[in-house]
Amino acid sequence: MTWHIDQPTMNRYEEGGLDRVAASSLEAHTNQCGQCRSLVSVDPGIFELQWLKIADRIEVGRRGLIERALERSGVPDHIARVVALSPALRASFVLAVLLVLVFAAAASTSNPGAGSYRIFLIVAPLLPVAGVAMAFGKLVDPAHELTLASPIDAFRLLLWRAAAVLTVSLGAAFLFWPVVPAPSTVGFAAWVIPAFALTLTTLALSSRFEPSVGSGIVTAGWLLVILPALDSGNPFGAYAQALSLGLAFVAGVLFVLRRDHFNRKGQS
Amino acid sequence: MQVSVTDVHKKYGSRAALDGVSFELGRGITGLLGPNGAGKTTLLRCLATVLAPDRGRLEIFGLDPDRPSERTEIRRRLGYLPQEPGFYRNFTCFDFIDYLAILKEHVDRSDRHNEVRRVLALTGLTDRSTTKIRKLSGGMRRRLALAQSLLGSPGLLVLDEPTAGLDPELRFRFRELITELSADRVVFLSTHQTEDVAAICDRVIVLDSGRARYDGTPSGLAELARGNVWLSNDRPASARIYWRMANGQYRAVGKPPPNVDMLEPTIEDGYVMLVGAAGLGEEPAAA
Repeated sequence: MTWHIDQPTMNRYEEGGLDRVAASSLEAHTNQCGQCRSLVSVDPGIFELQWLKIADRIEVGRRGLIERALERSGVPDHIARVVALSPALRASFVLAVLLVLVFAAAASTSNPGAGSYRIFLIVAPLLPVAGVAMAFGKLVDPAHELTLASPIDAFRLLLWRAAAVLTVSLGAAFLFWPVVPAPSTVGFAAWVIPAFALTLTTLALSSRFEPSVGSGIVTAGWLLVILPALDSGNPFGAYAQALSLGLAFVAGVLFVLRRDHFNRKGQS
Repeated sequence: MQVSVTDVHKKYGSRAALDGVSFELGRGITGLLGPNGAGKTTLLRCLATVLAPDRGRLEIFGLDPDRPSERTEIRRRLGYLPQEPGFYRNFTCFDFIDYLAILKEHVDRSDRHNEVRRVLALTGLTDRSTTKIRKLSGGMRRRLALAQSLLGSPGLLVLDEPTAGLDPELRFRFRELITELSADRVVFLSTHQTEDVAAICDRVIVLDSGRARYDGTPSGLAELARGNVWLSNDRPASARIYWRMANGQYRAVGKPPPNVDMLEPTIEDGYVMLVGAAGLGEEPAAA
């Protein structure tokens, strides 16, 4: 070697004070020169940190689409993980929602003017109900018992997941709404308010039954009410909307009052 | 005492799973023995705060699990291995434990990952951290389930049949690990393996038909069968239970006929005397 690095230059390198060209030159030289390598101060902490970063890259699995989207939108990584793990947010569920909407929209548009748009209005509010059924509970979550025994508030967990399910299913339904040939008197809110009411009722019932059972009850109840009502006027009129709001309020209050029932089985 | 169970009752329909169970637990390992359907899992689920008793009182670290805020605090200090822990089969070992660490409020990513590595190392699963759960054997999954129960170094470990499905070597490793951990915490484990009780438990509770039939030392349980275990050359008619050994003789437990060779009783013999008597509707042995 015809030249060596002096200590002040090495210090500037370690502090990140050298430009890229000078730093590369220094690195190439220290690879070859033992004398200059001895000037490099070694901080074991840096190696440890680097190693942990490498271990993370190897050990931590690739996050799913929804989890990454949640993280990018500012949701903390631990919350994104527990929300995204809901079966209701897996690709299969999202695909099923889209398929149902495609069929409902197709059925509604196949015979415009004959009130067939109502098929869409019947189906759309049930999508978040199905999502809630798949968001929580021992039938859909293999680690449900471990979730219950953990300090995380199961009520809050269900709320996060229900909110995510609502966003996905209502968002998807909203995309299809413009192609449904509904009269101008029937707006977006016509099915959104019933959807909220049915979802909150499912959540309230889930404090007593498994969410899948609660959603079955709600679906059956909805069909029993809505199908006969289709023949006798507009089931999405102002009166029905007011009733939906009332149901949503009562179910919401019950859901909150019974919040502890999600955290422990057999709670009186 | 760190755990107190007082007159706890739990019914499923008309069947009493727990019928007035009372005991206290302190530091060390307490084993829970009992036949199938005796109420062991129900009792452990109550202690793990996932199931509320119908009647009676539980107190864990001086806290009442009926009160939501105190229950949360108990759960922060609890490690629970259920009888059938569910797994996300497509997760790797690391991701599964990482997810459960999130549920246990390990929020900081870097600290959490270090904690995950720690419990995987404790259970000998470091080299499996990137293996998908669906590719693990039953014994490996049991270790993974045990690993999650150790997250956060809990003060109370509630383990439901932790050695089920483990091969002998893994069982020995489990015993080693649990005895080490029990030095400064409460360990309450249910098992069907009386050898595990003999090997590691300071104390054993025998549960039968929802009631605690015995609460004492493992050697005390064995003593219940003293004078009731004997060797016989012929099939012993008066025995409660017997089996033919490799040498052709019968080892029998029950009321012995005169002039037979008596044997030193084991925990298993004491357990048979206790639970067998109850099962046959006879007067149980003195507990």
